[in-house]
Amino acid sequence: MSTLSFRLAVLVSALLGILAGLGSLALVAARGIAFDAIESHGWQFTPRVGSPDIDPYRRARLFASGELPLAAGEGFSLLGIADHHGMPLNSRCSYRLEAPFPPARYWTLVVMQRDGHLTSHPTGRSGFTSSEIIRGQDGRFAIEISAEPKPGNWLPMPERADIALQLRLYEPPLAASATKLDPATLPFIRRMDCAS
Amino acid sequence: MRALICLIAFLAFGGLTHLIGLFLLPLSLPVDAFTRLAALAPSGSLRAVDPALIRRSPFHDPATEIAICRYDLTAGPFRIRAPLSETFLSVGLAVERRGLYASVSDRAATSGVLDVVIATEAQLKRIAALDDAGEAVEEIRIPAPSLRGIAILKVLVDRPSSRADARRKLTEAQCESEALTTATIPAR
Repeated sequence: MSTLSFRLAVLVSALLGILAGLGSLALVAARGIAFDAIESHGWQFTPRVGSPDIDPYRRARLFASGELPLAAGEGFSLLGIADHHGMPLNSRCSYRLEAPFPPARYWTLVVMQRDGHLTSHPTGRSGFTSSEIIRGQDGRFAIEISAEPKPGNWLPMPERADIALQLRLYEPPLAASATKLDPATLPFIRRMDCAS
Repeated sequence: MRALICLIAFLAFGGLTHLIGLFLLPLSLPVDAFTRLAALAPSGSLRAVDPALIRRSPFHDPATEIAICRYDLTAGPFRIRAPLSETFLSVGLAVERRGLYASVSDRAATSGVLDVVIATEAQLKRIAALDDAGEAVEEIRIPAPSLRGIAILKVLVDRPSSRADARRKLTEAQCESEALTTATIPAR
C-alpha cells in the first residue's frame, strides 16, 4: 500500500468513526439508554433522573424527549412498557393493573403513546389519580385499561397503537434518591384478551 | 500494523465524537422542557402555564397545574412564597439546558406558606450574617449554581373539581427579587 493510499485509508477510517459516533449518539437520544435503569414486572425505573447527578446518557434522552421529570424532592416515576409476560403494551389487547401500588402520598397514572404524548379519547380521560379510584371494601382496587368500555376503574386506550403507562409517585416514603425498587410493591400489568 | 492504525483512527474519532456530542446535545436541543417552560415567563414574574400546553407536551403529568418564574439573582436573591394547597405542592429549581438542581415540597412549609429563598453562595453568607442569633429561620434557603434559572411551581390536581383551586393557589403565589441593601431581609 502506498503512503498516499494509506493516508486515505486513515482519513476514511476517521470519517467512518465520526459517522459511527454521531449515529450511536442519535440512537441514544432517540431510543434512550440508561446504565442504571432498573426493569421489573414491565416497569422501568431510572434513578436520579430528577437530580443534578443524572447520568449523561439519561440527560441526553431527557432533553431530546422534552420530558419534565419529577424532581428528587417530589418523588419518582415508573414507565410501564410491557405486560407480565414481557410483551410490549399495545391497545390491541386489554390490561388489568392490580394492586399493590407503591406507597406514596399521591400517585397519578396516565396512558400515553410510546413517544410520551397523551392519547386522545372522546371520554377525555387519560389517567387516574389515587383520589379518583373506586376501591373495594378491603381498600383494594384494579384499573382496567382497554379500548372497549369496562365497568369499574376504566382507563380508555386508543385503538391500534403502541402504548406506555406512566405511574408517578408523589412523596413516596422511600427516599426519592433511592436507586433500588422492591418488585413486590409494583402493580401487576396483567394482559387480558387480545383482538386478532 | 496499517490496519491497526486505521482501527485506532476509527475508534478514537468515533469515541471522541460520541462523547463531545453527548455533552453538547443538551446545549443544542431547543425542545427540552426547561428551555420551553422558561420561554413562557418574563424575567422576574410568575406565569401560569396553560394546561392545554401541559397536555400537549410529552411525558408531562396532566394532573398538575404549573407556574413558572424566571429569576435573575444579579440584583439580589429571589423569594418564592406559595400558599399551601389541599393536595401536593412543590417548587423545583432548574437551569436552562442543564436541568433540575433542587426541589422542595410543601412538607417543608411552615405556617401555611412554602417560603423559599434562592440566592448565590455570597448572598447566602450575607443573609446568614443578618440573621438574629436567637430566632429560628423559617424560610428555606437554596444556593443557586448560576445567576439565572427557573422555578417550577407545581400543584397536584387530584380530581377534576380541584383544578380551579390549584390554579388559584398558583395565582396567589409570589416570586420576587429582594435587594440586599437594607439592614434586614424584608419578609412579608
